[in-house]
Amino acid sequence: MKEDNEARLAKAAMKSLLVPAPESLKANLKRMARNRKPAPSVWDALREALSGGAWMHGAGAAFAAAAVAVVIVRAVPSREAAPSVAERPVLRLEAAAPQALADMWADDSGEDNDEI
Amino acid sequence: MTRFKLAVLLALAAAPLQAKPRVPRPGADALLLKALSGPSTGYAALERVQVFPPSGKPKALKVAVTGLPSGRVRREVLPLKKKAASVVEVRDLEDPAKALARLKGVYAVTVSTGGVVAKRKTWKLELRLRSGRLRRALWVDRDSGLLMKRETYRDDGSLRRRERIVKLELPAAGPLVISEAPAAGPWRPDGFAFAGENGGARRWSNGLESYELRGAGVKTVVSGDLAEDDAARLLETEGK
Repeated sequence: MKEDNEARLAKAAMKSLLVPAPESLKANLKRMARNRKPAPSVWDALREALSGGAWMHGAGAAFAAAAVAVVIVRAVPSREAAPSVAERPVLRLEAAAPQALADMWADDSGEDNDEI
Repeated sequence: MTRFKLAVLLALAAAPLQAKPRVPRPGADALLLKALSGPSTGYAALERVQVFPPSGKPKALKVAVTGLPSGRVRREVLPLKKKAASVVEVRDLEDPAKALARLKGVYAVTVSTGGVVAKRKTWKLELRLRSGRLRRALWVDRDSGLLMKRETYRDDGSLRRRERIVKLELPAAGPLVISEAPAAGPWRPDGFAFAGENGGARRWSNGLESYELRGAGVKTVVSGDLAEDDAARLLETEGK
């Protein structure tokens, strides 16, 4: 009998400690669950990225300007100066000594590339 | 299917339509003739000539080349030292039909895509002896016909010589003038000068390579560092 009373007392004490959730919190949670959107599809995400905010318009414009600049630079013929021949003594090949011709050659790497 | 997906698919389907059509490959004879005729405008170029000895390091020199629309070409070999003298030769264009006949008499010619040389798209011509051995490869500018690069190979297939334009102004920005006249006498390969006579053999050298001529007239015999077409041209001009 005494044990029954103790158990009843403990149960009553536990019940008094439990605080019921406020009605407003429950309502908020339910509203949030209702309003939660489904996950966007990949296409929607891509579309959103392409039609992004103002900063993306700026980045897009910068990219387009860079692309146009590259096209123009490649289209305009190179203005590299023709190989200039400085003033120096000139010898006709017919009059050149064999040693003078031999002195024209230099060691080379053997690479096959354009002039940098 | 959403409108966006449809647009992406249409863009992907239309991509091949934007691709440039493949340029038809020219015939070997027509291309060779174009190369032998040279460009119809003047040009200024810097050429690198490399020689690859069978043993030892490659050697190279630089040549400033000026070409006139008439076909006259001035080649100035640039010295290593700034104040040293450069060596100049001037030559006129050979009759392209005659040069083509000589080349076709010696080689079988094939055409392939040549890649880019000095920022110009080229066709590649391979000149093979009747035995099938590759002797020369020529890279010809697709637009002007200018010979951009030429490689010569030994009998074992190793590279013997490469001449390549490394800088080009075509057409030339300003008026070009060649004040010197071409040298008189029989034709000689570019850069070769008379180096002496010994025991009936006359020798020409470019300081690194050489060839000899023995005999006279139609009995002339040529030997040395020359490809078959150059040797044939030497004999043609010697025999006259």
